[in-house]
Amino acid sequence: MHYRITDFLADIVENALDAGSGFTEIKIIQDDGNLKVSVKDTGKGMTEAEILRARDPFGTDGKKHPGRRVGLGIPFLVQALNETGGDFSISSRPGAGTTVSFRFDLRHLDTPPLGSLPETFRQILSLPGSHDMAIHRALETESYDLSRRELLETLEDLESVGSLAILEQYLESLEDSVQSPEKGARHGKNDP
Amino acid sequence: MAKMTLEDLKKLRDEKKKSMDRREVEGKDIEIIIGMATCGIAAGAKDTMSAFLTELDNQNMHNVVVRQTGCMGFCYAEPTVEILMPGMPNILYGNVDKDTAVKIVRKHILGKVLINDHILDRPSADIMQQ
Repeated sequence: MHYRITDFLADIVENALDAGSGFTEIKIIQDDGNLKVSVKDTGKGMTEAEILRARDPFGTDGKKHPGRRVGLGIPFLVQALNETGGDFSISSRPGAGTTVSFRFDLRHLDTPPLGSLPETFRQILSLPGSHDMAIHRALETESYDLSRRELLETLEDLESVGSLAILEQYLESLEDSVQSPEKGARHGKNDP
Repeated sequence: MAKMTLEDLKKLRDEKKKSMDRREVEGKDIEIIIGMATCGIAAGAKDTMSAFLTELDNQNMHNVVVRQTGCMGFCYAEPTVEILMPGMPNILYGNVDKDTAVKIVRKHILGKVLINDHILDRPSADIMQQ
C-alpha cells in the first residue's frame, strides 16, 4: 500500500505513460478541505472490460509482469479512497485515452499525508520518453502551471543530476508561492 | 524562497553549466536506473531517487544520468536500482533505501567497491521458470 497521496499520483501517471500517452494533463486542486486530482492521458485507452480489470488487484495485461497476476496501482488507490470518504472515477475510450480522477477528504483522520509535491513533480516530469506533460496545481486562489516541453527546452535535459537538482529548486519556489506563511502548518506542508 | 520564473531557471542552468565546463567532467558515462512501478513506489523509490540526486549533487557529479524504469521483476526487493558505469560490472541492487543510495554513490560509484549484501541475481526466479 502506498503511504502518501503523491505516491498514488506517481503510480497513476506511470500507468498513463505505460499506455503510450503522448500528452498527459495533470490537475491537483486543493480547496476547502479537499484534494481533487485528475490525470488525463492520450494513451491507448481501455474497453469497459479492461476498466473493470484495472480495478481488480489480480488483473494485469500479462506484459508488465510475465507469469504473474498482479495490478495493484488502481486497487490501492480505490481502497484508500473507500476507507477515507473519497471519490474515484475512471473514463476511457479505446484509441482516445483515459482520465482518472479522485478526491481525497483532507479532513478525514485516515487520509494519507500529501507528501512533497515538488519532489513528485520532479519525478514524474523526468519519466523517460518524448512525451509532453502539463501540470496545473492550485491551492485555493493561488496556482501555478508546468509544461514538460518548456522545462526541457530550458534545462536541455531532464535526466542529469545537474538539471534535476535545479529543477527541484524551481519547483519548490513555485510550491512555496502558493503556500502562504499562515498556511504553513496545513495538511501536507510538513509531511515526510 | 521567491517565486522563480523560467528565465531564472535558465540563468541557474547556464551558471551550473559554466562551472561544470571548467571542472574535469566527472560522471559523464554513469547511469543510475531506478524501478518506479507500483512496487517500487510503495517501497519508497521516490525517496531513493531524491537521495541519489541530493548525494550526487553534493558530490558535484552533475553529469550522472538518473533514469526511471518500470518493474524489474523484483517486487520483494524494492526499491531496485541498476548502476551502469565504466570500470564496474552492471549491477542490480535491491532494498535500496535512502542510506543505501548514499552508500552506493560513495562506495560503488566513487570507490568502485561492490555492496555485496544488496546485489540481486537476475532475472527474478519466478519469471525465469515461465
